[in-house]
Amino acid sequence: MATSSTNRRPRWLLVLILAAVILAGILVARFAVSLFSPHLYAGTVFQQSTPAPAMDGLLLDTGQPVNFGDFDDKIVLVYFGYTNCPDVCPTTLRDVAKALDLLGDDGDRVTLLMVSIDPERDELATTGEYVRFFDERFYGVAGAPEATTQVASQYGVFFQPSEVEADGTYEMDHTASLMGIDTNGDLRIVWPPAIEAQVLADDLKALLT
Amino acid sequence: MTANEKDSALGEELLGAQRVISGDAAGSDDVALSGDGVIASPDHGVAGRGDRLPVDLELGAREASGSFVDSAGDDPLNLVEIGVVRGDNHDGAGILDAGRAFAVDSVGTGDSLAVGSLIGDEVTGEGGVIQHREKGADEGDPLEPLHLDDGSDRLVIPLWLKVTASLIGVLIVAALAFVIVEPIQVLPRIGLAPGYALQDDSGELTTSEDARGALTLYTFMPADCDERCDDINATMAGLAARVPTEVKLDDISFQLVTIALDSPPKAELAAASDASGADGTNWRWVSGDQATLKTVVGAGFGRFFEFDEASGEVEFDPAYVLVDGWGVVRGEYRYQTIANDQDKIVSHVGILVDEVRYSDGAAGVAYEAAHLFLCYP
Repeated sequence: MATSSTNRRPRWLLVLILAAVILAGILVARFAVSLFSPHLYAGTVFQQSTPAPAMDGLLLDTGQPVNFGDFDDKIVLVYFGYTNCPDVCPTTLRDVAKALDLLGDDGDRVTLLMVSIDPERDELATTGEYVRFFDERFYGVAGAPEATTQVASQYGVFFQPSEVEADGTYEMDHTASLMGIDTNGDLRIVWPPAIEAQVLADDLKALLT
Repeated sequence: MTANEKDSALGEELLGAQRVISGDAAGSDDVALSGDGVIASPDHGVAGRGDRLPVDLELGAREASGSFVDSAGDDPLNLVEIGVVRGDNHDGAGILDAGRAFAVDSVGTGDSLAVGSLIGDEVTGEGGVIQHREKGADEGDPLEPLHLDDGSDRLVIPLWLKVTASLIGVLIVAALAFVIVEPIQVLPRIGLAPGYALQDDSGELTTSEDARGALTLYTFMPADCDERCDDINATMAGLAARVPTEVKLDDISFQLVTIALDSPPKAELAAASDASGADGTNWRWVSGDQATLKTVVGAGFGRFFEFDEASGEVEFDPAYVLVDGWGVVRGEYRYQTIANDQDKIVSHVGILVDEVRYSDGAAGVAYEAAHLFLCYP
């Protein structure tokens, strides 16, 4: 037996189906955009391969020369500061440590080197102890004043002592940017001073993927 | 044409559509099918082309029967036929009237099914292939090929995959269009400009931090220079005059810095600055000791120079370097290239100003895309 009839659907049902299709299209489009849109870095990114300047004449607080290839496929953050720094250095180190915590397990794939721009007062071991107060994954770097000046300049960092106070103390004026070196040893990104931990974590996450 | 020939023609014609009619198979001998069929012809008086009708079939080990019914279960459609065709030449089965049993050894996965109508000599309807699918079983690999009767395979691509592939295609086309048309141009981020602290002609320290937030053009020459430097000074003076008038700077600062390579005393530096037409504010002359200059100019900016202290002569490589407000080198210009330095630099300052002005928010994504796709002038 065979039977059939014309298939007539009410108009409201067609409108409902059309609305559902449009809604599904919007959802799919949003998903696709979020999937393919690039991460907008807060820092300045270098597209072309730019080898990170060598840190000739400087030592890690482990006593070894600085060689970016020794960091086991980690992103290396470079910061120029000093242990008597009253404000921007501890703030930056705290925010970097917080960003690494926000990354969870991926935080272990990032390390930080703080190069002392106060070689007259900062000893290598002291610099290491200072940075590890903020995070055990950090390293201190120091060297002779001439080597420090040359390396800092290559990283776009200026520093000079400010006026000496009556008690003989002084501060250092310095560039407070944070640099990121990828696992190939290329300088990939420069963050402005006072970058927020969450923003830094987002950038690092994008760099790690 | 005999009835058998018509049946065979109908089966082949219907199978040409190769529409999948899915069902549930309890085993290789007994198959119960349910689902939607689609009438492919408008000429049977009741249903129209594209109308969807439920298919209700019971196919046994040695016989098959079925019906094509509308949703109300009445309103008979004449001459609807159901058949099962097996093998490459379709010898094993025929097309029978609805409701009639017909002989096949068994019906199972991969068998072809024809459902349709025969009106006069005209064949209408469609065919399909039974897919073996256990009740409640996983859908499996959506891209698993479907084996057709003619021995060929057909890939069934699900809708979600088609939509995703279409979106990817649109994005690729958009990216290609972006690269070809270059609606946004940017200057490359070449590297970090060096940090420095150099003295100006009044003895004040000028540092790289003073240039933060400003677009800065550097050039390098000795203060005590012969006619070799006239063109360089003319270019710097021309840029000092042209950029503020030809580029809409608004609140973005543009400055020029000449670094004297011969470590001149303050007075000589001031004289050279005056002779060049520098105003000491937007265009400054600075210098330092040779060790500092080697670090800043030689290693930092990557510009060759050699100072002979005995004779005071300087060998140098004339050049201009454009640095953005983040301390990143965005342009390097060797003196006396084919294109006019002034025109090129004015144009590039304009590009940088646009990037600074529009690089926030959604426009920032477009500018980053321009960097990603190397949309360089």
